[in-house]
This record gives sequence, C-alpha cells and structure tokens, in this order.
Amino acid sequence: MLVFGFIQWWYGPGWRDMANRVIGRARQTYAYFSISLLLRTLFQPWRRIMSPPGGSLQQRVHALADNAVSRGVGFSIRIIALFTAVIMITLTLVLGGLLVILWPILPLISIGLMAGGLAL
Amino acid sequence: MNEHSFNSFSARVSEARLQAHWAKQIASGILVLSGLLAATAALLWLTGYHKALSLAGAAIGLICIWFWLKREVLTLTAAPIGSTTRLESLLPPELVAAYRPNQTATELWNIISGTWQAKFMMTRFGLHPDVIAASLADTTFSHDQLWNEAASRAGAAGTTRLSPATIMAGVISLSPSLQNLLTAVKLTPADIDEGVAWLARLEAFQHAERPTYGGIARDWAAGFTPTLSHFGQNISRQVELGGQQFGIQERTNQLDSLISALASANGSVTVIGEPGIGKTALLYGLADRLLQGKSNANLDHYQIFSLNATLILSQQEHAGDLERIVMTLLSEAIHAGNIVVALDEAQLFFGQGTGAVNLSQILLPVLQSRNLKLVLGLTPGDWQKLKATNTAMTSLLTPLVLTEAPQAETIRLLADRALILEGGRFITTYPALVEAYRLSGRYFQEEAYPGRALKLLEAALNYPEGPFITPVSVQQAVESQIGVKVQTASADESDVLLHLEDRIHQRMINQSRAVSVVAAALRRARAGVSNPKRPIGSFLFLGPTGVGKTELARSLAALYFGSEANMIRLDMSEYQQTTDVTRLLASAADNPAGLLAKVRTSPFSVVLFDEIEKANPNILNLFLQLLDEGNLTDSSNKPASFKDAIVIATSNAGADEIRKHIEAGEELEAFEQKFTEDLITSGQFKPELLNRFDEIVLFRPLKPIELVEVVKLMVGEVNHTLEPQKIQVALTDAAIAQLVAAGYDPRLGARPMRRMVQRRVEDAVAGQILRGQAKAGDTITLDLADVGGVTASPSPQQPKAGVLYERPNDADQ
Repeated sequence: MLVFGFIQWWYGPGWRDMANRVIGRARQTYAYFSISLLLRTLFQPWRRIMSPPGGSLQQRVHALADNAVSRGVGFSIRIIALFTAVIMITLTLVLGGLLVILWPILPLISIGLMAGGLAL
Repeated sequence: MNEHSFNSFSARVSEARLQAHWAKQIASGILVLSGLLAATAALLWLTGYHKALSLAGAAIGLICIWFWLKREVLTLTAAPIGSTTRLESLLPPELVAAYRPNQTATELWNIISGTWQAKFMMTRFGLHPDVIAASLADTTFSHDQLWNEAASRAGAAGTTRLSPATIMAGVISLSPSLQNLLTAVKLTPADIDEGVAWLARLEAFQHAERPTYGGIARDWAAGFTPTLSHFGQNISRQVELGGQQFGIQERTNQLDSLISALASANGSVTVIGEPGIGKTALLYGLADRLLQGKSNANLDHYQIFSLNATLILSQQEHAGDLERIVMTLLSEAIHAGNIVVALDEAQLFFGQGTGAVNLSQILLPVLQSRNLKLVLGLTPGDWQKLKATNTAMTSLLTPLVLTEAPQAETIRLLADRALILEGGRFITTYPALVEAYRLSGRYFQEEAYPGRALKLLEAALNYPEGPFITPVSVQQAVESQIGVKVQTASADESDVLLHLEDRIHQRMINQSRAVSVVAAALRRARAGVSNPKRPIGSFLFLGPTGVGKTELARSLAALYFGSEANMIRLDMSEYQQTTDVTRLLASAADNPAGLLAKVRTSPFSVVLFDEIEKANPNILNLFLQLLDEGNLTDSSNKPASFKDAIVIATSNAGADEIRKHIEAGEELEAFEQKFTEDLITSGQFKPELLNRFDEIVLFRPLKPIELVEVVKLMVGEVNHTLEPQKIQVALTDAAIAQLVAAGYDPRLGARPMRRMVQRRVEDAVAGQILRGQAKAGDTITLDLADVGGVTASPSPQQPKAGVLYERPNDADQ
C-alpha cells in the first residue's frame, strides 16, 4: 500500500507541488529584491540624500554635483541588486525547471542506474 | 446504513500509520544514507569501479522517498468537511492510524486523548482524560453520529476540517454525563467551541506563511531617520520582526477607514478612544497592512513611528529645546518620505495633562502643509477639549472613533495573548480568561476592553496555581490590586459571616433588628445571591441621635471590610446647595479627596451619608442612580462603581415618632410600615428614593438598662487605650449605675454617656496616674463615690467589687 501511495503522490500532487515550489521560490526572490521598486527608483538619489539648490551659481553647481553623486550611488547599488536578482531568479527557474521536467523519470533513473551499475 | 466508509487497506491509512510511527526518524535516516551512498558512489567511480553507479541510483531512489515522506507522509491533513465521505481522508491522521470501525467511544477517546490538540483542550478547560473516559463508559452514540456532531462543532468554531479538538467537542456534545461534568465546572458546550476556535487560530498562525514586507529596495528609497529612531518606536520594524502579530485585534473596517483617511487630502487622523480600547494595537495592524503594500498604492511600505511623549518632554533643559527636537523629528519624517508619525497620548503635546507642553504652534503648520501623515491618539474627553481650544487644528484631522470590543472578541484576544504572555512557564485556563473579562469589567472601569482585561490577565500571572493560571489567580490579582474580596468566602470568613450578628453585638448594644437585617444582606452578597449590578447593600437608618446608627456602619467597616478606615463618611448637611452637586461629582483630578475619587481607590467600603434629609434635592436625585445602577459618573464622564460598597444613609427624621411608639410599648416591626408611609406623606422623603434602599432600618431609643452595657463597652475602650501602660480600670455596678443615671437623656441616646465616661472615669484615672498612685500592673477600681468626683484607691490585685471590661479586639473579628 505504501508503494502504491508513493506512486500516486509522485505522479500527482507531488509533481504539482514541486512545480509550485519552484515558481514560489522565484517569486520570493523577486519579492526579496523588490525588482519593480528597484526599476521605479533606479535613478533616484541614494536614501533621498540631496542638497538643496542655493542662491548663487556656485551653490547651484555644488548641489547639482552632490545630487548627481547621490543618484550615481543609488543607480550603482540598485543595478547591482537588479543583476543579482535576475541571476538568482534565472538559476532558480532553470534548475527548478530541470527538476520538474526530470521529476517523472527520477524513480526510473534510480532503478535504471541500479540495474545498469550492477550489469557493468 | 453508514454515512461514512473506512477502507483500512487504503494507501492513506498506511501513510497515517507510517506518520504515527517513526516517519520523522526514517526521513532523517534516509537523507543521511542517500548522502553517504552518493559520496561513496562518487569516490568509487573515481577509482574506476563503475558498478558504483548502482549506489548513485540507490541514492536517487532514497531521495525520491525522502521527498515523499517529507512532503506527503509527514504533512498529512484531514480533507475539508463535506469533500468526501471516506473516513481515511476525512479524519485527522492521528485517528486514522489507530481507527477501527467497531471501536467503543472510550477506545476512540483513548486515541484522541493522546494528541497534543486534545491535551491542549483538556489543560485549558481543566478536564482530566480519565474522568472523560469514565464518563464515556455508558455512552451509546454511533460513529456516524460522532463524525456529524464533530463536523457541526467544527462549523460552530469556524473551522473546516475535523481535528482531535473538534472530535473531542463532538464527544462532549453527545455525552450527557460529560455535559453534566461541564456544568459542574461552570462551562458550556459553547465554551468548548471557543476552545476549538482558539486552537484553530493557533494552528493557523503556526502554519501561516510569512508575508513579504517590501524587499531590500524599500528602505533604499527612503531617507535616514536617526532622531526619529532615538525618540520614537518603529512599530513597522517590530511587526517585521514578527513579535506582535498574534493576538492583535483585527478591526478590519476601522483599519480600512484609517488607511483611506491617511491616503486622503488631509492625510492626518485622530484615533479617539478610551485608554485600553486598542489605539496602539490599531497602529500595529496599520503597520502590518502598509508593509504588505496591498492597501493603498500611495501608502505602500510606509512605516509607523510612534513618538514617546515622555522621553521627548524630558529633554527640555532650556527654553526652546522641545520645539527644536520636535521640528527636527517632523522634518526628518517629511524628508524620509515614507513615515507616518503616531503621537500616542497626543494630549501631552497640546498642553493637556500633567507635564504637558503646548506644541500646537509647531504641529499646525505641518498639518496645514499636508507634507506629513500624522496619527494622533486621544481619549474622547481630550478630543473634545482640543476641539474647544484649537478648531484650526481639529479641522485638519479626520476623527476615527474606536468602539469597545464586545465580550466574545475580547475573550478571543485574551486567549491568543495568553499564549504569548505564558512564555512556556504557565498554562492559562479558559475559565481564567472569562474571569479576567468579568472582573476587569467590574473593577477596572478607568479603562476600556480589551485593555483592562489584558492588564488583569498579565497581573494574574503573578498568582499561578501550580503551573496553571486559573480564575483564582485572576481573583487574587484583583484582590491584591484594589483590595476587593472576590474569591469565594474562606472557612474563616464564612464563620464571620454566619455569626456576624454576634460579632456586631460585641461592639454595639441592642438594635437587634437593624443588625440582623444588615447581616443578612451581607451574607447574600458574599454568597453571590444578590444583584451584582447594585451596591452590596443599601440601607436607610432612621432613628434618634446616639442609638448606634453610625456605630453599626463603623462595625461593618471593621468586621466586613477589615478596618474602620474603610468607611467613607459624608456629612450631607454640607451639601445643601444646588452647586454642591458639582462638588459631589468632582473628578479625581479636580478633587482627589472627593467622594468619587475615594470610592475608586477604596471600592470595598462602607459609604455613609449622614443626615441625608439635609442634602439638596438634586443630590437626592443622584441617589436614585447610585442605588439602582451602582455607579455615579463624575464631571469628566468617568463612572465610579459603588457595586462593592455598602451604602448607608442615616436620618433623624421621625425620631420623635419612633420614641413615642416605643414609649407606648410598641415593637418596631409593628409600626415600621406605617412610619415609612408617614415619611412619604409628610414630604420628608420621596417614595422613589425610599423604594430603592434594600432596607429601611428603624433604630429604637436606648433604655437605661441598655446604657449599662454601653458604659461597659466604653470602659473597655478606655482599657484598650491604657493597654500600653499596663494599667486597667474597673467599675463597680454601683459606679456604672451612677454614670447611667447621670448621663441618661432619652433625646440624645448614648451620646452623653461618652462625655460622662470621659469626665468621670478618664479624669479619675488620669489623676491617679499623674499623682503616681497607679503604676504598671495596677487595676484602678472606681466605686460609686469615685465616679461622683471622689478619688479612688489603687489596688495591685484584682478589683474587689468592680468588673474589668475589655474592648472587643478587631483582630479577632
């Protein structure tokens, strides 16, 4: 009965569950890196650090330079985070997808390897 | 025909049995073994031993089995009710593993009672498994009846699956002897349903997925807040760390209103509610919703900072310090761009309350600019005061009034919070939760539900009974906090109550009818028979001066409430003007020595209203509410409870009539009805007032023979005073008779006797002591001549003809 239960689960709820887990893991990674927020704020100053523009031309130039640095820092950190997120999501989907594809033949691979190995 | 079927050869039954027996250990073993096989296979393969492939195949096979054990066998759950009639799917796996269709109710119970859910229910409801098993011995319900009843109980508890707890509830529901058992411990099947729901909430919380709160980019898009972090409490951070999520009042509708008001043009809200109503809890709910970013796009991932008013106000060293700090805080919050600032106890920022300052001139421009979202927490009274003094500010704030949580919701909150408060040290029983709700409602009226009940439950943790927090723990917490007796009378106390008349008569002479009426009322109250919504007892004492009215009130304070100090006495001749109503109803803040302030601090007291007939009629009207509802409301609209007090009003009205009747040889019982009617007819008292007293008690004038006993009591008091000097005084019968003869005045009762004892006994004793004629160990005997103003002779021995009188000892009573 346990063998029957195993087969029933492996080719039914188990397979679905594994596919959902892979998708869920990818979603979690997307949420952790908050990709939509990273894209929306890609060019915004880092932690809203901004110099107010002064009255004189020199002060304005200084403020412009400060703000450009802040935006540059913000962009750099966010773009690194974006790349990291994309790599991690891709890896999750590729490796997880591979597992989902191989899932139905995994028990057969196991049996095949055991039989094949002994025959060598 | 059976409605449900059970296939004991199904895969699910086998899986359930596997789950019950070593599945966890097997899964762990398989994981280790597969790892070892894989490593061995790799090593052997590298050495050229190709048969090692079979080991790799075995490792993969074991991993497949591990997946199945982990994701299926160990997570077996019951199918939703109604989705199938197959019991192997419908029942919880613990039961499926050991179930047989021919099992008796007791056998089924033995399986269920071993589960942690059933143990949870039994400990929380004080039920013992053996007692339940014994009660089920003669039960005859069918299995189908049980599953249907369990499904019904699950529905009542708001759950969708059968669990050991719902089946236990079904067992109780179908067993008449268990129903009787519940009744004996003051529980109902509805309480068991609440317990099932409690457990279901706990399990749902345990299995809930952690929500996502915005990811790493959230804080990168907001400014730094160092000052806010120093002076404020980041509620969102606490929610994120997961410390405050279980046992928080949901308040879905009010949260929706709050979020929509914060997102509106005004953007600032005043949350109005009494202390304890859940203003702070609402902030936690708000923080959770905003962090999840699913409520309103304009407020996505906003964080709530609650400012600590006390800490900020304590920073003022020089003029302008506070203003500077508050400006910095608000500027930081505006600049951060994702902050909602919450001002708990906001009245402290508007110049209301002790230690408050007025910062409205700083807050007003901020509100007007609408650059910052503020949430102010105020009581209804403080909101009204702010509206009266600062319309410009209140017009910029959207009011959100919180209502008090109803009983069922409060008990649910208490149950969930109890699991956190216990911290693994105690087990809070369900009856303790109900008791915390009941007693906090009665004794902690300064606060609203659920706060007052939560506070009491927290206090009860200091009074565990073994590992359990029970109703007695809650009662002890109340008793220690406000000195009110709420526990069932102990054997000693029962003895005092049963012999209350004798104890009172040790202190006062005669007035047997008055004493017995009052004693009976106290026994009713302590046995829980009287109406708990009114004072313990309310009496109108009528009679001439000096017959024991005040003494009876004092005796009650000493005997029932522990000390004569537990008597709040008001001379109503001081409340004759209409304006005195305000004085009587002054709040504790306006008059800490006022009636209502005293009753709040000492609710367990005798409240004596002397000479009530002299009070202003408007004050007498207040008595109608006091006697009917057991409370009065002060000038700040807060109620003060008299439900644990004995209310006594005294009056000399009709004293001459009483005297005439008694002198004519009539007994009190014979004329008291007509006497009361005469009081109404003559307009001295309104009928509605007299009818509200539990008893109208007539005191009869004292006869000379009774004054002899009064003198003895007074001499006993003198001896009590002399106790530290080890000198005693004794009077001969002739001396006592002389004192009575000299002090008797039918109009003034026993009152002149006190002066007489002072003048003739105390003076004589004082003279002896000052002349050195009495020393420690002496007993001064006063004879007829002595109390007539003649000196006495000291005696080192016992009095020859006098009798030594002792004052009754309060401690003995």
